[in-house]
Amino acid sequence: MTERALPDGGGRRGGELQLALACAMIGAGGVLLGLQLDGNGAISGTGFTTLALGGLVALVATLIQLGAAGRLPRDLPAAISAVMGFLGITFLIAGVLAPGGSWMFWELLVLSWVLARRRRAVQPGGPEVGAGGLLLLSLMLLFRLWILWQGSRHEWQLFTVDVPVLSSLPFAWLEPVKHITIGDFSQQEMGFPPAGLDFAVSTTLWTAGFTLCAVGLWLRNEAAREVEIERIHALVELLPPAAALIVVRLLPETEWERLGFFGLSEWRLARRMEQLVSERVQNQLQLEAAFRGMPLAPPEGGEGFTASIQQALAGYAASARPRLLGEAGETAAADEPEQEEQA
Amino acid sequence: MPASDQNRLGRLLMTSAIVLALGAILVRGIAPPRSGLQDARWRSGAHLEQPLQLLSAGAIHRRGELDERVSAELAGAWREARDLAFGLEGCPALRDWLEEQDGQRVELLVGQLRDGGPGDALAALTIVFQVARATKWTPGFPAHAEHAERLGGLLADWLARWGEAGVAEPGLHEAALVAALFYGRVMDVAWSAPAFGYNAASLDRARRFLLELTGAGAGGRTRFGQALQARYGRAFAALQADEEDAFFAAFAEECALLLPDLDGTCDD
Repeated sequence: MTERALPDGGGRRGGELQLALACAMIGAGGVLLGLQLDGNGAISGTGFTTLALGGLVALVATLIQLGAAGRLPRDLPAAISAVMGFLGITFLIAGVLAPGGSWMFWELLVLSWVLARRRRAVQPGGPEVGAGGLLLLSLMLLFRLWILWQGSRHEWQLFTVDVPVLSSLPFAWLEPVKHITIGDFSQQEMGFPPAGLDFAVSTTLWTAGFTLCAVGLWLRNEAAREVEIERIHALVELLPPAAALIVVRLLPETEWERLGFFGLSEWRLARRMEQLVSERVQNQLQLEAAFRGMPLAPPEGGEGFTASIQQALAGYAASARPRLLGEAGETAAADEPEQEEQA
Repeated sequence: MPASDQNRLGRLLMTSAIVLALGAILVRGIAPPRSGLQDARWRSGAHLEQPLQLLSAGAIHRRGELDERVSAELAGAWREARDLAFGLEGCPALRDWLEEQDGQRVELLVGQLRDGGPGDALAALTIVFQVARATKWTPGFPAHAEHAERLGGLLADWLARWGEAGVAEPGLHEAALVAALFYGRVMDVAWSAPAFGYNAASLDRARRFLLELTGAGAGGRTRFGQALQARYGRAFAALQADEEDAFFAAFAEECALLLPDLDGTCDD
């Protein structure tokens, strides 16, 4: 995020448009993640079990993130965006969970831990998924696709290891001990439709859905910040242009999130900005006063860190003192008639 | 873009998002459809009760019921083939008997019946099963795969004509599926006939035929494949297994459960 000129009125709605697009992407991804194609080519749903579990994890993550650094949405678009963020995480988790078995609960445990960790300082748009979370979800999606691929080939285990020597013997009665199967599962456990699963089409649907949801969530996070930045700019624009420029210099856009501006109500935002502008102006004045009293020549004989710092400060003081003194003189001269009038 | 257009587009996208999110939850509840083809067996209409009995050893008691279901123009062919097949005695080797006059005649008549209507087709299949029951088609020693291959050919011809169409016929639905299972069992015998090794040609022929019949390979499933999957899922799954010969065991197992006497030895 770079500091920029104050936006004009026409470009200010870009963030909200981006937010709406992100929400639509999440919704479309959710639809794709909720569908599957059976062996006969008939469409069916992927069921509510994984959705409910995904919702549970998303709720835990949301509450913990909200408690740590979240802000409640202020208006309807922000509320819709927050709900879509929650649903997006739910859809993603439901889309990558193994449909059944003990694996699913291990996955839930890991996901709860990763997604519920503390996020950025403030989350104006509801729950977020970081890059690490998305990576984990992608790996789980791969795992799910692998077991479904195995199932679609009627191989009901994760993989099979051939027993050396035994597996090469041509006796059928040795068949039970020729291979060791790792991670058995069943068709019912995987939630396959009765007619089996069309792996190719279903995989395409889920991968597309996952991509849409993940990109939508990322875009939503960025758009939520963009909306907040636009809102703060709109508040600053209420000032006269010269004053607005000084405020933006004193409180650079890059610091707004760290300063806790995001998610604040208009009134609290205005009070917070007033307080910070006042503090920073005071700091600036104290700094300039310190420069005015500083000796122009750097101390002789010093070396290393101390000498370098002092030399730099003295150089600045020498170049800026006439200006500072001049401004002080002008200010004093300008103040005199006012003081006389007041007297 | 003007601000008003942006607002309108934003509202449209947000509304779409809400609708899509609701849809994403609702679509998960779409239940997978049950196989409507199963209903074909129970569809009302003039059909035989328990048509599988005509393919079993008890066919001799019900063969008369087919007289009124065979079309008038093929009634003579049916009666002649029926008398020859059900009168067959001595358990001759199947291929040898088919080379004889009676065998050749039966083969011709079966071909005529097969090309008729559904009632004629069931009559043709009844004859084929009766011939299989009354003849020997196991390889013996030295290995003779030709008997099983010949029987497999008769079944394949019938399935090629009536497999897909038969599953939609109330009287043929179950019979068509059992014919396919029996075909797998018979070709298993042909495949494993050699004392050492296997007949690769039998495997290749049977696998290709069943994959085409069911659509279990690439492409969509046929109606026959859907019916087989719904009724005999294990056999259908074996067709898709990595091991090319896995389906033989599954088909043979299912067939042995349904028709245990059809083992190619004439033993009851």
